[in-house]
Amino acid sequence: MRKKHHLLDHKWQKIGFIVFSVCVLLCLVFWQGLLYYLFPTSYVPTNMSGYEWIFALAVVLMPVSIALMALSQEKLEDERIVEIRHQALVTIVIIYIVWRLLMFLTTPFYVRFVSPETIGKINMIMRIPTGVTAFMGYYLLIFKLSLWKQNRELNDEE
Amino acid sequence: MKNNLRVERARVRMTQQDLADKTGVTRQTIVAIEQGKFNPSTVLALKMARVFGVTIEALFELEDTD
Repeated sequence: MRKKHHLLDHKWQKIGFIVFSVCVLLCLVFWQGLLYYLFPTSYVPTNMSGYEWIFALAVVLMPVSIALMALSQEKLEDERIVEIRHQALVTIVIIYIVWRLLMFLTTPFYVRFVSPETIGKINMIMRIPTGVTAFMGYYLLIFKLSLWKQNRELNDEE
Repeated sequence: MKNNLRVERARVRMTQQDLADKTGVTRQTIVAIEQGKFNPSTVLALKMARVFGVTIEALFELEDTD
């Protein structure tokens, strides 16, 4: 009897990781001028204008790569790993609900004391960690950490 | 739930990795089952019983606290 996981093949995890790494590198290069900082005098162009589409592409591809990593199975996806995956999902849903509740409950207090512009900024800052990409990222982080921790404990045997 | 996995494995001189390969799980899962940290599904328990040529009851038994 074979169980269906509804997850992508393991190779997509590798592809997702490569794409994510490239995206992070590109974002660092364009956002912080890291490339110019590392190689200030050589052949690196100082003016990055005209190449913004690369940055835009990286920003678009980053959530896709996180989704690929989060939704693809491990090399050998057995029932223990499925259980860890399930626990990670439950944990992140609880954190998400608590965070949204916190947002909902704290808003009436601070709106009286700050300007509308500041409220907008606070709302934006508070919404970023609850976006779909962040949700998948947290889930991936919790899942991978739990798996690594458990495997490390179990590796000591025999 | 108690299990005699380690005993049965020793009886047939099988490593955890061998058992893992034969049942299609990771070695860490076998360790977790042996240590009682993880309860296998019915399918996995049946596969293990088949590998050792014993019944499920010979491999796993319920405790009073279960």
